[in-house]
Amino acid sequence: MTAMLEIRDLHTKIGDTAILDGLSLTVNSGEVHAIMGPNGSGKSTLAQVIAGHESHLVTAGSVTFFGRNLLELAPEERAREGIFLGFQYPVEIPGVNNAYLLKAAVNAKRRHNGQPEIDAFEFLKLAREKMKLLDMDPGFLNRAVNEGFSGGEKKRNEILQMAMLEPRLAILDETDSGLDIDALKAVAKGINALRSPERAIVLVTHYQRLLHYIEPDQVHVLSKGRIVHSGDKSLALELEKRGYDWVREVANA
Amino acid sequence: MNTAVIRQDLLADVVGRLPDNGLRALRERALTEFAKQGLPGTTEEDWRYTSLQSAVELSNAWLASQPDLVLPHEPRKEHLPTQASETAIDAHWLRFLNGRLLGGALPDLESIRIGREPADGRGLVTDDGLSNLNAALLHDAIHIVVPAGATLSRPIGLVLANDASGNTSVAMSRIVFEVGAGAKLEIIENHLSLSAAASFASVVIELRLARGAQVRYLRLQECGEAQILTGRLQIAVGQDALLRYTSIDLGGALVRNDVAADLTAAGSDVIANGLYLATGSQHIDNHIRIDHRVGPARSRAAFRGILHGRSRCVFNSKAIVHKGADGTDAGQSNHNLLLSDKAEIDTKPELEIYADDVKCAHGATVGQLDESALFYLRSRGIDADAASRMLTRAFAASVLGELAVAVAAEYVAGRIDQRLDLVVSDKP
Ligand SMILES: Nc1ncnc2c1ncn2[C@@H]1O[C@H](COP(=O)(O)OP(=O)(O)OP(=O)(O)O)[C@@H](O)[C@H]1O
Ligand SMILES: [Mg+2]
Repeated sequence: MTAMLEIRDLHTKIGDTAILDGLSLTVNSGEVHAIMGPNGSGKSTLAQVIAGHESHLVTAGSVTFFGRNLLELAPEERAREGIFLGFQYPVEIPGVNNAYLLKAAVNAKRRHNGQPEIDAFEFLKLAREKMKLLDMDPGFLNRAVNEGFSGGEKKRNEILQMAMLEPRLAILDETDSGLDIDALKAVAKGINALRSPERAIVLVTHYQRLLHYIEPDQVHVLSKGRIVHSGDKSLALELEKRGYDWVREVANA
Repeated sequence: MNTAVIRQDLLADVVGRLPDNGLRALRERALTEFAKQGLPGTTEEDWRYTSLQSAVELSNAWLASQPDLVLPHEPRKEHLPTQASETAIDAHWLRFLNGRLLGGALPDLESIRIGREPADGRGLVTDDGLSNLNAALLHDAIHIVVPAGATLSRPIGLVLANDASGNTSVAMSRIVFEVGAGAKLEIIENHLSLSAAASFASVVIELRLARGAQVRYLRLQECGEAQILTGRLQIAVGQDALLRYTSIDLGGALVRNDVAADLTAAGSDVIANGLYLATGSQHIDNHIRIDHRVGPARSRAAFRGILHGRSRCVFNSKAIVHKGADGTDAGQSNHNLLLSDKAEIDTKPELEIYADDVKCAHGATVGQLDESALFYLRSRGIDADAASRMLTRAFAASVLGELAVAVAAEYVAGRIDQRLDLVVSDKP
């Protein structure tokens, strides 16, 4: 079986600074992976490289998606192929309406899949349904993308986009950070609703609490640009108790 | 420096052959004044970045061609096809072709009076060379009087069309609006070119707002690629008068627009905003000048520009707060989006303050599309071109959101969209 996402010995640079330094990771359909690790270790870099951010230069290694070389695809092509990045810092876009972007995104994907565009009525119905699941006020549809949203509202909006786009691979970069308890539950509900044998989810997180709602199959520790340790869900608990120094020692041993 | 000047001998000859319709004495005076002034050159601070060289050359060629179109003959309605704006916006449309009001009889528009020559001739001859050239070559001068207390059910629309297909490559127009105390009026000024040939049009509009008058004014410039257009809007703002002004520049080869507002009494409130969109080798220059002579009063000038290709734009707005104009609140801003590294903007929002108790702010920015926003949109499956268009539209949206004449909003939004599609897909 071909893995959904296969990253081998990935090295990247931003400017002259090397960030990812020989990272390897395999994600199969149906799996949930959690990636933890200290600040600045390269978690967001990994997420952005997968999504196609052009300021990261891949200097060595490979990334494939169902066997296809991902690195030669533009960010929008990756999105249409079913990759979704939930941003650690969602971007505010004044003057672009939230509903307008959602609809354009849904239609870009539909066109790619040879499906007819969604009509206005169907779109609203779908959006309202997903917003209800996420406990989001429908008023957010009429606002500019993320403009003036609170930290938690921005994260919920990311999950709304994900729910509308139904990606095959969702990479959620600290979507749980800054959420109150109710928001965390709502976001977890949104993520769990997406779980299926055909999809995979990569959660970048600093906290065990999200993993309490979404059980990961594997937990990885990223440090200095590479995965230094992997384990099952119990690893997250252990990290919470013992910190990262302990992993570094194990890794160096 | 202008290396060429308008040939005074040719000009005098043409002025002498213009119809004797009551403007003759004024034309002669303007001609005499113009002889002393000439057109402004790039050594003048206000014209540093904009050369009228091409207008001079075109004018000389036209003057030398012994244009017979200056002979008196009445342009008729069928000379000007109905324009899209007339169909889309419900307004009292006055239609001008090459500076001349179409249709023999002047229309009755609700309570307002329209005359052919300014009743007083005031303001026709000034210290501005360009305005005097305009006055010297006028066929018609239109005087529109809105009585005190009047409110019109619809805006007054001006279609100002230029057709250079005949021997008509130079056209001057002049309109005076006299808005009585407490009257409310909306005005739409729509500039168009009917042919692709080069032509030079000069439009001078005067707006006199009596006490408590309220005017909402939209200038929509959609000239063709070879059109040279200079515009001047001179506004006298009376006590407690209100002016909302929006200027939209979408077309033209060389466009210079001057807006000058004179705030001579307390309580006036002037907000001017605008958008200029330029690509190819377009040159668009917006100059705003606001004189605060008495306080308290408020003025704002907020313009946005989107530049692509090798276009060049100029923005200069100056608020002068005269001695004693205490309680003045003046602000100016100008934000520009450069889509090409070959496009150029010279921007200068300025304040000159001679009063003590004032609130003033000004600022300008020049930037590119936000890379992180572009990536965000692309990561949602939107292709790079569409993402650029979305962000460019968003940049323009704030001007549309505050369009002075609300009934025109949908039409203007459509025109901006159309033009943006063209501009964004242009190659630098
Ligand atoms: N534009 C840049 N120029 C130089 N260094 C950069 C740039 N962007 C990121 N980096 C560096 O890359 C490293 C990895 O950053 P990254 O954002 O991937 O970390 P992270 O693991 O997501 O951290 P956090 O947990 O704080 O979100 C950091 O040291 C960061 O300073
Ligand atoms: Mg991060």
